[in-house]
Amino acid sequence: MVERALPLDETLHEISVDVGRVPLRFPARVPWAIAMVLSLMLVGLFLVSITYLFARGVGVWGLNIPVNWAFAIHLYVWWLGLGHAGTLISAMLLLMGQDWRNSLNRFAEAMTLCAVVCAGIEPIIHLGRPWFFYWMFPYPATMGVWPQFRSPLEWDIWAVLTYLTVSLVFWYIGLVPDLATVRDRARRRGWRVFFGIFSLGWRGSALHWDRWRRCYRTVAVIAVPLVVSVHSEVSLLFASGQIPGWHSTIFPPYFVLGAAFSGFAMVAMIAIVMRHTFQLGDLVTERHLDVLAKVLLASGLMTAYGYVFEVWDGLYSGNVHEIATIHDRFFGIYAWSFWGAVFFNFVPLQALWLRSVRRNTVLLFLIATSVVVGMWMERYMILTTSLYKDFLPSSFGIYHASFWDWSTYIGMIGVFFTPFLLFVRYIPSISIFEDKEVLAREHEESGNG
Amino acid sequence: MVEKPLGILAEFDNQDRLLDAAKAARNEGYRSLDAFTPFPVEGMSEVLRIRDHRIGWLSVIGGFAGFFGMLLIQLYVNADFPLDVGGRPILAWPAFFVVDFEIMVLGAVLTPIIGMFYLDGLPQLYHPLFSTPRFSLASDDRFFLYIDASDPKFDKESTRAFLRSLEPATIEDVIE
Amino acid sequence: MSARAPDGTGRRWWQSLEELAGSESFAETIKAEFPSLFEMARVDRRELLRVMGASLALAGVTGCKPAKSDDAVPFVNRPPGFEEGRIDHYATAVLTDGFAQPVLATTVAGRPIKLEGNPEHPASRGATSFLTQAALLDLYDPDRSQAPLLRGTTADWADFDAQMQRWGAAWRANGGAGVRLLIAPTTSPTLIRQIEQLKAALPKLRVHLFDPLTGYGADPVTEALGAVQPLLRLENARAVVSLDDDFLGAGPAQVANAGGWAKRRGDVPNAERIRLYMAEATPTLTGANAQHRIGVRPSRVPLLAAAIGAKLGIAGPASGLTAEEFGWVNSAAAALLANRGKALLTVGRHSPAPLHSLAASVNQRLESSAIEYLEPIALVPDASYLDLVRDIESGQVAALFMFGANPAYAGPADIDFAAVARRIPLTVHAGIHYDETAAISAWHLPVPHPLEDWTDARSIDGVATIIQPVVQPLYDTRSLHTLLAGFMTDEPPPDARAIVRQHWAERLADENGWNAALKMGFVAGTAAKPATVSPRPMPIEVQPPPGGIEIVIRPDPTIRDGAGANNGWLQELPKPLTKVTWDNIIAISPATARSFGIAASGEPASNRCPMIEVESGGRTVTGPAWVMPGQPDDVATVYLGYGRRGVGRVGNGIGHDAYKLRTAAAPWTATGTLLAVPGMAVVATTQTHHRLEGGEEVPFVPAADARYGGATDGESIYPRWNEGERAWGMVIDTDLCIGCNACITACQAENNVPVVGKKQVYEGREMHWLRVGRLYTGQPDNPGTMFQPIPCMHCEQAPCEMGCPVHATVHSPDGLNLMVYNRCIGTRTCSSYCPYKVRRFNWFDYTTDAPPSIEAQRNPDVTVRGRGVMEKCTYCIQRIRGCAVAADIDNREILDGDIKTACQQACPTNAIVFGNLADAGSAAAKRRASPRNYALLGELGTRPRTTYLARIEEGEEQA
Repeated sequence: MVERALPLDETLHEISVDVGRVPLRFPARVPWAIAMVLSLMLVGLFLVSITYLFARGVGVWGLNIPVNWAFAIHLYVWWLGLGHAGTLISAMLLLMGQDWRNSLNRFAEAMTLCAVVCAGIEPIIHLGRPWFFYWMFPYPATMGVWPQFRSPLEWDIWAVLTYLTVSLVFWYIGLVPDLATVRDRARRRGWRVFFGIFSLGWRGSALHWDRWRRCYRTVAVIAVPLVVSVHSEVSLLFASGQIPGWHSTIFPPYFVLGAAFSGFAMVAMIAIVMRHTFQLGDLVTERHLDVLAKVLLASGLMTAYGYVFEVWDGLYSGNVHEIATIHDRFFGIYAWSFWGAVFFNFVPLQALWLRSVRRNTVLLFLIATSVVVGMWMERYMILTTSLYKDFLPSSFGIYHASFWDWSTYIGMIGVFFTPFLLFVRYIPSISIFEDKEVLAREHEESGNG
Repeated sequence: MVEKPLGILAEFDNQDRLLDAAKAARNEGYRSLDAFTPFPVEGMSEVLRIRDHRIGWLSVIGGFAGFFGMLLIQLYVNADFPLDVGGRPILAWPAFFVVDFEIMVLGAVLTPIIGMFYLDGLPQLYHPLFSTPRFSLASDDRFFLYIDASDPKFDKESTRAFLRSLEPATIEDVIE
Repeated sequence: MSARAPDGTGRRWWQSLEELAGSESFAETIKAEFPSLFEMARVDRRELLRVMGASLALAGVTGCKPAKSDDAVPFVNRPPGFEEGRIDHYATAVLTDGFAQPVLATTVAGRPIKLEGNPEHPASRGATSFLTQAALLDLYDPDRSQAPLLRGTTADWADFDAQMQRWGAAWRANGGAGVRLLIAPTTSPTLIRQIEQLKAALPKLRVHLFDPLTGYGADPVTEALGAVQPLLRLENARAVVSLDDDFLGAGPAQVANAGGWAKRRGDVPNAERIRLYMAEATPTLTGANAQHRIGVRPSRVPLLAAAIGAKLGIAGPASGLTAEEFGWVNSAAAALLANRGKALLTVGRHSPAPLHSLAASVNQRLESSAIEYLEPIALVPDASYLDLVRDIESGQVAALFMFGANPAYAGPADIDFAAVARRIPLTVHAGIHYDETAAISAWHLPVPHPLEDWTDARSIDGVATIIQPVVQPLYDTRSLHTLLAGFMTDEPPPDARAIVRQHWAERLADENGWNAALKMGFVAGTAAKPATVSPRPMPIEVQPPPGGIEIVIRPDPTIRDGAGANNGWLQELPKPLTKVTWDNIIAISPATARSFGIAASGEPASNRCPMIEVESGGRTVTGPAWVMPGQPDDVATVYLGYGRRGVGRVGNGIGHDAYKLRTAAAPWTATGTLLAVPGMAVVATTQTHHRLEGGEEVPFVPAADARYGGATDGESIYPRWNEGERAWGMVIDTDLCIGCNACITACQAENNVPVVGKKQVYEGREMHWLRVGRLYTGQPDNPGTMFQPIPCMHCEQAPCEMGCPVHATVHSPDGLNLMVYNRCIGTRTCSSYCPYKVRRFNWFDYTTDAPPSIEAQRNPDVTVRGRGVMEKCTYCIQRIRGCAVAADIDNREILDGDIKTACQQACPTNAIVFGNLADAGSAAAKRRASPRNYALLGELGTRPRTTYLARIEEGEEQA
C-alpha cells in the first residue's frame, strides 16, 4: 500500500489542536526554559566577544597576513549553507508536490531565517571598520564614491539581503492562515490580539485562497534559483581570487550542494528534537525522517563527488601551486580539517543506506550532527589551507584561532537558537492548513479506493 | 426590528459537501458566492469561476523593474565616477548581472505579495463574519458557503430556504 | 599553468629543513593549531611597554627646536630663518663603530625625519646601510639618558663642573697620574687631536680602547701590520677568497663594500664577474653570496689559511685537510693565481694576527688592487681594555673616564668589571644611555646624539665629515669635546662648535671654506693617505681540533654588540638569514640538531624552538636552538647584543646574553658542550618554514645577456588602459641584491611604518611594506642562498582592486596601485586575492595613542594609518607627487632619476631601479628590456609593474 504522509486516524481538528496547543498551552515549558536560558547565556558571550572585538580591533582574533580570513568568513558560509535547506524543502518540494514537506517546511524556514541572520552578522563584524559597513551600498556620498560592483563581496551583500527578505516573506505568507487558526483557537484575549494582528484578519475566503496559492507558488518558483544563485555567489567570493585551492570553476555547484547537504542535516536534527519534545510524532512521522535521510544521503554523495572532482581538478591542472595546496590539505598541518571533513561528512553517512538506520531517530540525529560538524571543517579547510600557503614561500604563515575567535563563534550559536526558540514557543511550528489539505486528500483517496 | 443581514453563511463538515453546495448555488443562479475553508479546497476556484491572473503578471513586472532598475544604478555609478579597477572595463556587464539577478528576484517576489494583500483588502483586522458564532471553525475543520446580500437573486427567506435544502450543519445570518 | 624556467635553469628553492624532511605529526599539529586554548588572553604588559617604547610612545621630546640657522648650514641653501613646515636637507653624518656614515638629513619644521646617503660623498654615493637608516630612531629614543647623574640621583652640570675643576687642577699638578680614559672607537679628528693635547698636558694619562666588536686585547691587525686601516676595493676584484670575513655584513664598510661588489655583478660579462670563495665557521651574508662556500669549524680556518699560503708559496705546507677542504683550497688558490692583480685574500677582523699577516703578504704577492692599506683613521689607543683591567687590579688607576664604553655589559665574562671597578676611587661614565656601566659608575654624563651636536668623523676611506646638528639638543647633554676640554681648563669649557671649528681653523680658515664643507658634507682632500705595510712574518699555529662543541661568538646581525638594542626598527628588522626578530638564537647544524633530537627549525606550525644550553668554562647560556642550514657540524653560534639590563624599555630583558661565553683571551670562539633542556621558546620569524613544491620565484640564467623565458605580460581579455606618458614601474635585479635589509629600514623610516613588537610579529602581523624573501637551494649542510626583495607589484590587472567592494584600492592614471586609507572598511579581500601577499593590515590601533613626541620622527607627507585599514607599498607616492609638483613649478618635465623610492635610494648595490616605463630612455625601462627581465608569478596575468632580473649563475669554475 502507498505510504501516507499522515496517519488516517488523525482528524483535521486534531491537527489544529496538536499544533495549536504548542503556542497556546505550551507543553514542554521546562526543557524550553532550560534551552532558552542556555542560549541567552551564549548570546551574552557573543555580546561580550564583539564588544571586546569592536573595542580593540579584529586583531583580537588569530588573523594575520596571509590568513586574514578565517572564522568569520568560513562561518558566514557555514551558516548560510545551513539556511538553504529551509528554502529548498519549502520551495522545491512544494513544486514537486512532495506532501511530506508540509510537516517540516515551517520550522525549516524559521531555521533558515535564524541562520541567515547569523550569516549576515559574520561578514560585518569581521570588517576592520565595521561602523562603515554601509559604504557597501550605493548612496550618494559626499565624495561621490560609489560601491565597486565587480567585487564578489559586493555581490554577496546583495545576495544575502535578497535571500533574507525572500525567506522572510515566504515564511510569513505561509504562516498567515495558520496564525488565523491559532487566533481562532486562542482563549485568552492577549493571544487573540497577538495572533489577530499577525494574521492580518485572514478569513480563508476562496478568493483569497486562490490568490494566495498563485502567490505562494510564484515565490516558490523563484526561491529555488535564488538559493542556487546565493550560494554560487558565496563561492565566487573565493573562486574569483587566484589563490590555489579557490580558483576553480567547480566551486559554485560544489558550494550549493554542500550547503544543501549541511542544511538537510540541520533540518533532520531539529525535526527529531521537536518531534521528541512536543510529541508531534503523528505529524513528523518516521516516513518524514526516512525521506529526509534519503535526501541527506543523496546530497551527501553529490558533495562527495565535489571533493573528488576538486582534487582531480587540481592534479589535472598540473599547476605546481594547486598541487602543493592539495598536498598541504592531505598532509599539511591543517590536514586534520580535510580528513575530518571527509570522515564526518561521508563515513557515518553511509549507514543511511539501511532503512532501519534511516528510521532510527537517535542514529539519524547522530549522523546529521556529524555532517554539520563535517561541513564546518570543510569550510574551515577551504579557507585556511588555501590562504596559509598560496604562492610565495616568503609570505607563508600559520593561523591559530584565538580565544575570541571561539567565543564569538560559540556565542553566535546562541544568536541562532534564541530567535528559533521564540519561534517554536509562540508560532505554529508545523503548517496546520497544509497538513489538513494532505489529510483531506488522503481521506478522499482512501474513500475512493 | 431585525435589520437586513449582510449575507448568509452555511456550514458543512467536509469539503466535498461544500463543493456540491457551491455547485448547486451556482446552478441556482447565485453569483455573489464565497467559501471559507481551513485550507484551499481543490476545484473551488473553478466552481466559483475565480480567475485572477494579476498575481503572475505583478511578479513579471516586478522582476523586470528590479532587473533594469539595478542595471541602471550600476551603469550610472560606474559612468558617474569612472575608475580603473584592476584594468577591468568600466562597464563590466558580466559582473553587473550578478547583483542584477538578485534584485530581479527581489522585485519578482515582493510585488506579487504586496499585490496580493492589496487585492485581498488585507490587513483588515475586523470583519462582520468574525462576529458570527461558528465562523471561527472555518480555520479549524468546518467549511462555509457564503451568499452575499449584494447578490441580485438574494432574498432573506428564499435564499435561506435554498441553503437549507443543501442540508448544511448550520445556517447563520451575518449581521452588521 | 605555472611558469617553467627554461631547461637547465629550473631550480627547487626550499625554505627550511623540515620542508625537505617534510616531517609533521598529527598530534603536534593539533596542539599547534589551538595554542590559544592554552595561553588564553595572556596580556603581556611588558610587551606593551616595549612596543610603546619602540614606537617612541613615551618619549620626552615634545619641544623639538630647529637648528639655529646661524650655526647649521643646510645642504641646498642657507635658511634665512626658520619657517614652519620648511623642509631642509643638511649634509652631516651618523656614526657606525665611530666611522662616519655620510648622510643628508631631511628636516621638517626643524625635526630630522629621514636620513639619506650623501650622494656627493665618495664612500657612500648616496646609499646607506640599515644601521644608518635606524640611527635616526636613536635620536628619538625615549630611554636616552637626559641629565647628569651622581650615583644614580639627578645632578647638575654645575656640580660636575665644580668637581671637574678640582680634579683637573690636581691632575695638571701630578701629570694625570692614575687617570685613564676608556673610550669607544672614534675617528673624530677633533677628538683625537684633543686627546693628544690632553696627553701632552697630562703625560701620565693613558687612553684605552673598548671595542667589543674587535676584541679586548691588542688589535690583531695592528699586531700583524702595524697601525693601518685596510680598505677593500671590491670593484677591482675578480677573485676573492674570504676566510671567515663577513665583509658584506653589517658594519661601517658595508655600503662601500656592497657598492664595489655590485660593480662586478649584474650586467657585467661573466669574465668580469666577481667570484667569491668563502670558508666560514657560521653562515653570514657574505657566505650567502659566495659561489664557492664551505662551512668549517673555526679551528680549521688557520689550517685553510696555511694551505692557501702554501699554494702561493708563503707559509709552510699544511696537511690534514679533508677532501672537501682540499678541493676548496685548490680552486680558491687557483682562482687567486689566475687573477693576479685582481685577486684578494681577506680574513675576518677577529682572526688572529698571523692570518692578517698572511693575507697581507698574499695580497702583496698577488699585487692585489682590491685592497688598500691606509694610514690609521680611528684613534690608536695607548693600550687595551685588558691592560686597563690589569692596571686597575694592581691599584694604579685613580680615576677612570668611560666615554661610550660599556664594559659592565659588553666585557668578557671572565672579568667581573663591576667588582674590578670598585677598586677605582673615581669612575665617570659618559654615554647616550644610563646603561649597565653607568649604573656602577659614580658619575653618569649624558652625551648628545650625533644629529644634535657638533663633532666630526671620518668615513672608512678617511674622508672627514664635519657633523653639524640638525636639531637642537633634545636633552641636557654635553659633547665629548666639551668634556675633554674640561680636563685642561678652569674656565667653563667651550662648546662643541667652537672646539670643532677651532680644530678645522687652519684647513678651513675662512667662513666660505667652512660653509662649503658643511654644505658638501665632507672636507675635500681629507682622504687617508696610503700606508706602506710590511707584514710581520708570523707562524700560523694550527692547534688540533678541540673535542666537544666549538662555539662561535658573533655580533648580532642587526643590533650587533647590543648598542642598537633599544632601537625598535633594528629589533623588528628580520635578521638576514634567519628572519628572526626581537631575539637571538643559538645556531646549530642539522646533523648536530638531530643528535640532540631536535626537529628541524623548531616546530613548523608555530615558530617554537626547543631550548638548548651552551656551556663553556663552567658558564652557560640558554636559548632557542635554531637549525641553521650551512652551519658546520658540532659548531654552535651564539649572538651578542641581547639580554641587556640597562638600555631601556625596548631592549631590556629580551634574548640571552651571549657575552657570558666570552673570554678575554678568546672573544670569538670557545669550546664547550651542548645540552638540550626542556621547554620551548617562541621565536618570532617573518618567514615561517614550509615545504615548497616547484618554486620558480628566482630563475637562473647562465650569463647577463642570456634570455630567461619566464612569463612577463601574458595575454589578457581586457582592453589595455592607456597610461598616458607616465607609467611608473620598478625593476629589481636579484643578481645584485645581497639581502642586507637596508631597503626595509629605509621604507619603515620613510613611510611611518609602525613597530608592532615580538608578539605581533610572531602572530604574523609585521607591518613592513617590503620584505626580503630568503630562499635556499641544494643540500641543507651547504645550501645556496639568495634574497628577493618583494614590494607591492602594482599589477596593471590587480586582483586586489577587483576584490574591493568600496573602491578603496584602485589604479591611478600613471599606473600606481593606490590604497585609499580613508575609504577602506577593512574587508581584507584585497589581501586575500593578492598572490604576492604584500599587503599589511592594521589589526589594532598602532598609532593614535602616541603622544606628540611620536610625530617628531613621522614623515608629514605620509598618512598615519588608523586601525582597521589595509596598507601597502605605494612606490613612495609622496615622493612621486612631490617631484611632479616641483617639476610643474619649474615648468619642466620630470627627469629620469628625479624620483627615487626610499628603498631604491638606500640600496647599496643599486639592485632596485624605479622610473617611468613609458619613457624608453629611463633606467627602469632599459632594465625592463633586459633579457633577464621576468615577472614574479607572471603566469597569473596580473601584469606586475615591479619586475625582476633573473639571477646569473655562470657555469662551473673553469680555472
